Amino acid sequence: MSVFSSDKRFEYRTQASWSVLVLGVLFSIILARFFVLQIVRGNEYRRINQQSQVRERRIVPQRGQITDRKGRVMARNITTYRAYIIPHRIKGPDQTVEALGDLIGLAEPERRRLLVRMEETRGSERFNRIYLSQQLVGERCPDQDQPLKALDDPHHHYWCPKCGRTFEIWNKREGSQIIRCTRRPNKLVIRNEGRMAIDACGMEYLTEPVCPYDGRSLQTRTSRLVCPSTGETFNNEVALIESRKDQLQGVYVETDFRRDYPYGTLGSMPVGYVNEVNAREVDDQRDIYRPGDRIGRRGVERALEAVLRGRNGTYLDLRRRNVMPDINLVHYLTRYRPIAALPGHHVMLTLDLEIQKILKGALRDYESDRQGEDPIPAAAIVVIQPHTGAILGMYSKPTYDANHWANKMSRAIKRRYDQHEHAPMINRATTSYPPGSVFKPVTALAGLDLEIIDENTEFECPGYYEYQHRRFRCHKRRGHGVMNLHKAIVNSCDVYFYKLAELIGIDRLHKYTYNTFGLGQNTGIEISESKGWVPSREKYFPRRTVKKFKPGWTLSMAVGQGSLLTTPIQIAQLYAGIANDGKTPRLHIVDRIVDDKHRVLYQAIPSIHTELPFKPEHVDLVQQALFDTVNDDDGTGHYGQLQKQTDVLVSGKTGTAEAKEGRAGVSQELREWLLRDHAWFVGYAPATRAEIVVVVVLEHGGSGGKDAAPIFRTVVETIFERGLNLANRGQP
Amino acid sequence: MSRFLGQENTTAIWWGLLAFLALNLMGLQNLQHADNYANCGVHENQLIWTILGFSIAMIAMIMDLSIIMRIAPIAYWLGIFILVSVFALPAHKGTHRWIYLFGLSVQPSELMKFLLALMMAHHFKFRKAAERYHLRALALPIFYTLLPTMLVLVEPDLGTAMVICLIGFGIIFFEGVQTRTFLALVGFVLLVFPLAWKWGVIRTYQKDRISSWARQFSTPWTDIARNPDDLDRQPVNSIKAIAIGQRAGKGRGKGREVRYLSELCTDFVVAALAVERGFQGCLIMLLLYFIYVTWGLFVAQNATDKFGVLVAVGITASLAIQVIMNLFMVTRMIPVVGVTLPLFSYGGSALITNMIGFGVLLNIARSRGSL
Repeated sequence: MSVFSSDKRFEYRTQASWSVLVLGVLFSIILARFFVLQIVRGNEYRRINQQSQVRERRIVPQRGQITDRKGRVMARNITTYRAYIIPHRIKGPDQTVEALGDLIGLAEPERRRLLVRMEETRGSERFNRIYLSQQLVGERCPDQDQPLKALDDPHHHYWCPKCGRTFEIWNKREGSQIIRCTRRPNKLVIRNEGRMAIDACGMEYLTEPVCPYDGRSLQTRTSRLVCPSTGETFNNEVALIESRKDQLQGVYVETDFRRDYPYGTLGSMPVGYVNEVNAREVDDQRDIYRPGDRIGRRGVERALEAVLRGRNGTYLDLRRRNVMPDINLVHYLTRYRPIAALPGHHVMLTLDLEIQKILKGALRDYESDRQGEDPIPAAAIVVIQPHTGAILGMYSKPTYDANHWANKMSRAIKRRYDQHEHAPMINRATTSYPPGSVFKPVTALAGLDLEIIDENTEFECPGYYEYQHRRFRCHKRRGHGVMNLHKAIVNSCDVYFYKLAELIGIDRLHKYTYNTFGLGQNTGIEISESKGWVPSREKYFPRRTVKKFKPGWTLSMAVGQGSLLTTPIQIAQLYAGIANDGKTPRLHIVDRIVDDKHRVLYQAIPSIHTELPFKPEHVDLVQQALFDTVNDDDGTGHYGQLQKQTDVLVSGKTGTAEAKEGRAGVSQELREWLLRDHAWFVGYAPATRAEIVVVVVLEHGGSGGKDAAPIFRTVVETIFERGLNLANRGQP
Repeated sequence: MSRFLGQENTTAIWWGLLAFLALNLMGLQNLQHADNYANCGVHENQLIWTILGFSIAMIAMIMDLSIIMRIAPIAYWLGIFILVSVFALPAHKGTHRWIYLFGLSVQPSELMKFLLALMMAHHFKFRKAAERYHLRALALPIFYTLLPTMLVLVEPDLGTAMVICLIGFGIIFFEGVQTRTFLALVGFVLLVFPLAWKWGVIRTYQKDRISSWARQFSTPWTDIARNPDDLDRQPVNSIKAIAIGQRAGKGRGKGREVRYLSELCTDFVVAALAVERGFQGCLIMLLLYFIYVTWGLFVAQNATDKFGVLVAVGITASLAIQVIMNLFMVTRMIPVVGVTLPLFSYGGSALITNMIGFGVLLNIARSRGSL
C-alpha cells in the first residue's frame, strides 16, 4: 500500500488511514446535507421565502366603551402616539437622533440611550423597534382627550437639554405672564433669594436662562397649542415628525390606544379595569391575544371581555420594497382572504353615575361621634329598581382608581394600595356578610307559610330564650314582652324568632331560604359575585365539616347569624321581591349592548327571577311590618324616615349582625374595630309602590338603626330630590 | 489517497500550502461580503490579523523544532495561567472569554488548542512506547486534557471546551489505547457532559438551545419557519440562506437573506458563502478543507519523531474538528454550540492559532519532524 523509509512512519499508518477515513465520512455527510438543502430542497425553500415577502399583520380594533344609563362615559379609549426607531433603516444614527431630539425635545440621557440601543443591536434585532420613553403629543391633550387649541401668540419657554425640565423666565419687575397654571394664576412662591419662583402647579421661574440643576444654558422651545382645560402648552409632535420624514428616515410613529376611566373611583368596582395579558392567557388564546394586548380584569371589563374587545382583523403587508413576482406568490395572494376587524361593542350599564356620586358622598359625609380619621372605612351601598331589576347604584368603600391599574402605577401609589388596611380591591356589594336581622322576614314568611304562626300568634320575650341549656339573648336585655309577628319585626325581637325557628326546624328553614328565596346562590348579575352561604343539617359551615348538627344553630340562623352569609345584592333582590308582592326581579347591571354603528345588539328586558309562592295576605303582613319599622316611633328603623320629602314614605328593616373577627399583626384601633357588628339597613320607597330598593352595609359599622339608617335616609332623600328614582334613560 | 500518504514527495507540501492559501483568500473575501450585509466592521481587522499571522507562521516554520519541544510544557502552563486569569477580569456579557492586551482582545481558549497539542505530544514523546495504553498510564494526559476543558467550560464556552476535549482524546486515541480503555474513555466523555448538565455547569441558555434544536423532530418545517423560537432563529435563518443559494448561488452582493443572522461574521459565515456561491462554492470549500486536513495527516505520518507526529495530529485535528462541528451546526444537524469556522470566521486569536499551526506543519513537513 505504501512505501516507507523508517519504522516510525509505519507505526502510524493505520491510525492515519483510519482518521482519513473517518474524516472523509464526516465530510461526506456534510456535503450530502448541503446537497439536500441546496439542490434537492432549494426550490422549496425559495418558495417559502417568497411567501414571506408579504406578511400577514393584525389589526387590533378599538375596545368598546362603557357608559352609564345616561350615556356618561365610564371607560373610554384615548389615542396615544409613540415614536419608534428601526435601527436597520437609520442612515446616520447620530444625525437622526440629533434631529429628532431637537425637534421634539429629547433630553441628553434619552438621546444617549437611543444611540446605545441602536449600536448594540445585531442581525435580526436591527429590525426590531426601539421605542422612545415618552409619549408623543398629537392633536389632543394627552390626559384630557380634548382637542388642543392653537395659541394666538406662540408660547416660548425654556428647556434644559440635559435634564429635560421646562422653565419660564421671570421678569421680576413686570411679573410673569403665566399661561400654564390655571389653578391659582399669578401666585408665585419665591425661592433662592429671589432668583427662582415656583407657581401652584410646580412650574419653575428663573431670572436667567441657566438650569438650576445642572448649570446648562437653557434652550428656547416654542409651543403653539394649548389644552383648554389645563392650560398646558404643547406642540403637535406627531405632525412635526411626519413633516420631516426626509430628515428622520427610520423613525416612525405608532398610534395606539390606552384605556381611560374619567370617573376613576366612582365606577371602578362594577366597571373594573384592563391591563396587559399574561403569558398563560396568551398561550391559551393565541389566535386572539399577543403579548402587549390588554385584557379586562374585574367587573364588566372582564365579564364582557369578548363583547368589548371586538375581533381582530388581518391584512397583508409587504416586507420588502420590491416584491419579486413569482407564480407561488400570485397563488397565495389570490387565495388570501383578509378578515375585517370588528370594533368592540359598547356597553351601557344600568348604573347612574349621579347616584354613585350620591352614595359616595353619603359615606364620606357621615358624621359620627367615633374618633379617628374615617368613621366608615368599609361599606357598601346598592340601589336597585325593584320592578326591572336594574342596578342603579353599586358603591363599595374603600375603592380604587381604575386608571392607576390600567396604566403604569408609580411606586408611591402602589405602596398605598399594598399598605391599605381595608382591602380596597374588594367589591363589598358582592361580598357576603352575616345579614343579621334583615334576614328575619324570611323566617317570618316561612313560619306563615307553614301555618306554624299566623298574624295573631304571640310569644313572650323576656329578653332571652333558654334552649338546650344555652341562653340565647334578645338584643333588648329587658325583653319586649308579649309580641306578635308584626311587633316582632317592628321591634326586631330576637326571641320571637328563636321560638319560631325552633318550630320550623333547620331542614324546612333551609328549604325556604335556599330553594324558595334563592339565597346561597348567585343572583345572576353579569359581574362576579359571592354566593353567600345557607347552612343545612348536613353542612353547616362552608369549609369545615362537623360531626353533629347542633339544633341551637337553627336559632342563630333564624335571626341572620350563625354561618349564614348573604351579599348586599342578594338582600336587595330579596327585598325587591317582598316589595313587589312576591315577584322577585332578575338583577342585572348591563342595560344594553350596541355596536359602533349604534345598532342595538342586546337589550336587557326586565324579567322575573322567581315568583315567591306565598299567600298575598302573608306578604302583605310583612310589608306592613316593614312599613311600621320605619314609620312607627318604636320601630328600630325610624331613623330611616325621610325628612326632606314628607310625602314619600319608606319601608325598611334594620340589622345589626355580630361579626367579631380577629386579624394578626394589626393596630389596637383596628383590632377594636374588627370586633364591632356589621350595620345593615335595607329599605324601599315609596312604600306603597316601590321605585327603588336601597341596601346599606357598614362593615363593622355598629348599629343598623343608628348607623346605617341615617345613611340610607340621606341617599334616598337625595335621590328623590333629584328625581333619579324615576331612572329615565338618557341619550346613548 | 493512500498514494499521497505514502509518497516521500516534497511536492506534497504544495498541496497543503495551496489549499491553505486558497482557504485564506476565500475566507477573507467571504468575510468582506458578510461584513457588507451585516455591518460588522471587521474585515479590515481580519486582513491585518492574516498578514500578522503569516509572519508568525514563517517564524514557526523556520524555528528549530527542538526548541518548540522544549518550551512545550512552559507554553502549556502559561496558557493555563492566562486561561485562569480571564476570570479575574470583569465579565463581558456574562462570559469570561477574552482578555484585553494592548487594546486588543485575545481569546486564550483558541490558543489553548494548539498548546494542548504541544503538551500532549511532549508527554507522549518521553513515554515508553507501549503498544497500547491502559487507563492508569493515561491519567496524566487525560488530566492535561480535562484541565483546560473544564476551565473553558466554566467561561462558559461549551463549543470550544468540546473541541479541546476532542483534540486531547483524539491525540490519545491516535497514540493507541486498549480496547477496554477506549470504551471506558468514550463512556466517560459521554458521561461528563450530561453530568455537567445536571450540575448546572452548562448554563440554561445552552440547555434551551438544545431543546430548541430538538423541536425539528416534532414540528414540521413550515411551522418552525414561521415561528422560530428565539434561540432557534439563527440556525433556521442559516438553513434558509444556505438553501436559497441552490446550485450556483445568487451572486455577489445579492444574498440579502443573511442579513438576519446576528452572528454572520463569526459562527455563521458559511451562510454568506452558500447564498452567494451556492453548492458549487460550498463544494470547493469542503474540498479545500479536506485536502488540507489530509495533508496534515500525511505530514504527521511522515514525521520521524514522535513529537512531530503528535503535534501535527493535534494541529490537524483542531482544524478538522472545528470545521466539522461548525458545518454541522450551521446546517442544523446539531444544536448551536458556538464554534467558529477556521480561516473564515472573524477572530484574531483563532486565525493566529491556525497560522501558527500551519507554520508548524510546514516545519514538520520540511524537517520530517526530526529534531
